[in-house]
Amino acid sequence: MSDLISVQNVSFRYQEEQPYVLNDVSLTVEKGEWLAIVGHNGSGKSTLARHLNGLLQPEKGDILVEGYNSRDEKSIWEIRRRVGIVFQNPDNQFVGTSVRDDVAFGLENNGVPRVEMIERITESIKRVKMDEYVDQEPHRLSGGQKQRVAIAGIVALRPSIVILDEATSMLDPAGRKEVLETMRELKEEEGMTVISITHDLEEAAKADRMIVMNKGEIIDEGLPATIFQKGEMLEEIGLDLPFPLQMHRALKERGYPLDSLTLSQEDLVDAIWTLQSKN
Amino acid sequence: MMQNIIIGQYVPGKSYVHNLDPRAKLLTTFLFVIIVFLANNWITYALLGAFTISAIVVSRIPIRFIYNGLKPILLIIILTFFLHVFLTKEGPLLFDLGFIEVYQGGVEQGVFISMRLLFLIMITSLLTLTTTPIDITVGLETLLGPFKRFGLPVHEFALMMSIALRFIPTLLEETEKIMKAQAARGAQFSSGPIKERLKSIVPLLVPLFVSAFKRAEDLAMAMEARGYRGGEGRTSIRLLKWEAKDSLLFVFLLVLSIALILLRS
Amino acid sequence: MDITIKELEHLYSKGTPFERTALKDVDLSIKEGTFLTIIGHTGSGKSTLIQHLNGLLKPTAGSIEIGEFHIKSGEKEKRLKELRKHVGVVFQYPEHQLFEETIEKDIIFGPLNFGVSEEEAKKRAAELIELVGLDHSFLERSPFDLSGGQMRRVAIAGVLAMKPSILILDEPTAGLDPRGRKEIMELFYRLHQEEGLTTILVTHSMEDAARYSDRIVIMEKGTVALQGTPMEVFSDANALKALSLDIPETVQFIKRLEDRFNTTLPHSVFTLEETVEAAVSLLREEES
Repeated sequence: MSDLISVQNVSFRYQEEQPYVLNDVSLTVEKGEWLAIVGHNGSGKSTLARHLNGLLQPEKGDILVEGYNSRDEKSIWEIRRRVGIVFQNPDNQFVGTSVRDDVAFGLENNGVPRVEMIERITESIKRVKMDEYVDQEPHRLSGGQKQRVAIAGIVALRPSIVILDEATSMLDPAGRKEVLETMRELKEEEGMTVISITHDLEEAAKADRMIVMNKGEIIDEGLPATIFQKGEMLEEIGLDLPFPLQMHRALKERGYPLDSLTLSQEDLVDAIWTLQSKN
Repeated sequence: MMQNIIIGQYVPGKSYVHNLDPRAKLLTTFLFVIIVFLANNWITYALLGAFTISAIVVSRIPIRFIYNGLKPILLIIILTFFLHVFLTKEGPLLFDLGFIEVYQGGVEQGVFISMRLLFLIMITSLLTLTTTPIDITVGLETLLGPFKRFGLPVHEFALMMSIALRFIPTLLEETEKIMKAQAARGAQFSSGPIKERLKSIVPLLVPLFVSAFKRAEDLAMAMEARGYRGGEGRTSIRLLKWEAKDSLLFVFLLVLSIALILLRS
Repeated sequence: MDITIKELEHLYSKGTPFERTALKDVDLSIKEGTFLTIIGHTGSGKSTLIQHLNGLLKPTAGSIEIGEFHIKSGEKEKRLKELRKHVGVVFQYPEHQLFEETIEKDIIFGPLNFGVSEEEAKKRAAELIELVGLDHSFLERSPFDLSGGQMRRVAIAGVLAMKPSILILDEPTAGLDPRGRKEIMELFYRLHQEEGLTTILVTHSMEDAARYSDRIVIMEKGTVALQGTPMEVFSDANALKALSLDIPETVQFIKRLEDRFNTTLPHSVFTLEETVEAAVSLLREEES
């Protein structure tokens, strides 16, 4: 697999004489993977996201997106076309007065001819299953629907990567599910690369790879299953372990260590069953 | 009430007037506002009246919407009428009430001036009644396009308008939410002298501004992330189609103007 | 103060083409001191319901009794302000209601409106700022210099400063990270117990509902679809499924253990500790 994004020793702070929000961060993003970046509010994960499409410039270090360096002014539009971000607040990123207008916005910015634009809009609105709402005004849509429109607006630009920057944190459970399912389909069917920035470990558990951030630094990186072994570390930085892992740990503390670490309730029940049979 | 603010005055429909290119409607309205001042006798006013009434009939806009548009200035029209009736002393004397004399010229002037106002308001409100605010914006952007080279920020103006239209419902909702939150903390918004009342809306205005600024900041970032870099090189999804019916209207209006010029005294 | 809601109905834009039923036939009684959780999907009417409890919305039919206060459709409750003094509401994203120059001024805004003396209000502010987990030095700072989580705490202090006896919480932890969520919920629960409050929580979190409530009410399409103690509500798995609501993980897990071990476990188990206890009891049984 090849690197789509490479972040090299990036440091950043919003103002001089303030502490660094990102401190010597390095990472790579591979094509076709679902990468979860987790951390509590203020850990620097959103600031990192904004570096990945050139909304923020690193103070030190470099960011390369498919070979384009975000420091290079001419590259910035190439980068933004390749890296789409779905932001946290569904209302504050809806530019158009209707679903169609909003999906068109990015295409208009990139000077896509109208005929092609219509084709791409129809296609991407269908992709996120909003085709019944093409002429709908934003204030008549739910949060989850607005976020799906935001995804369609990005997909229409045929990007390499979609970043979900806490895109589900203001949604209700149904909306959250809608948005994540839409993204999962996009990944599976189109091979889209996804970076999901979140403080929800349940969501991160389903990622291919996980990066843990705290105080502007990457403190761990690896497969979710491996990282979840270090439950204490995750709890220490203010994250909530998925229920089966919490049980696993609590049982160990009580003197009942289970064999393997599991992320599903079924497996956990099995493990308890096995332990009991052994006795 | 909220519904009205959201879509402006627009009354959805599929009439000939609704389906006209917004540019045709804007130009017609503009031209009409000018030629109204050409009329100066009964026949020319009758022509304008016929045009106005047929436009309303063709648009199939219920008359009460037109009346609603007139309501705020009805008093001014009536006042203007009587002012002319009582103060213009031309032509034969019609009747004399002792303290006041009414001349034929006064009545004519009164009728003409109030008709002029009436037609102006009716036609301009017909524009907003049959065209969505966003179509008006797009129409204006295209019409004013040539002025870009003289440094007129046409694109920026149009974008500003459409974002404002997009956020009006959101901000109204927000206002309601904050009003409720402050009312739950014992705030009262509508009582007491004006000074008290001004003071009482501070708890509403400050949060509203704070949130509007936050939204603006977020929106600017989202727009930049989606590749927005000003009007240059931008294409548009909204396509205005100038069709035969639009040209027809325009030709018709030219004929009307010429007729007015020939028939005025 | 007990709350009794009878045949409550609320229509939005009544008598216009946009008329929409938000609530209908809602009957509910809430005893003083209860921790009640209201669950339901977006648009099920839960927010509309709680806004009736301090007169922000008026019923279009039916009645609400809160202690000695009566709210009836078509009648004006003249002591609305007095009612609001007793019923505090923490709205969704309450940090949006902050407006004063200093945090102290913002916290005392409510109490002053309700006729509390400035001295007393300031005393409350000083106590509350610590209670919500910030320190005394914050009082003189501007609320707009704080982080989102801190602003939320200040806004909550502003509602608590009114010393309400009924506290309504509309998704008070939305948008917070897990640690923030836990801290805020623990704070409300502690207050509920120490001050003997009647607490009404609106949430999407089944875990919070299971953990804190005495009673749970499930709203669906503007009316009460299910209510009871957490044990009653969560044992009705089919009903919950029909409403497409999740069952708390602890409850699911106990159910799975029971099936696998072919045994019965206590059903009033909602916290992690209790669930661990139940699992340990199974393992121990075998040992002895």
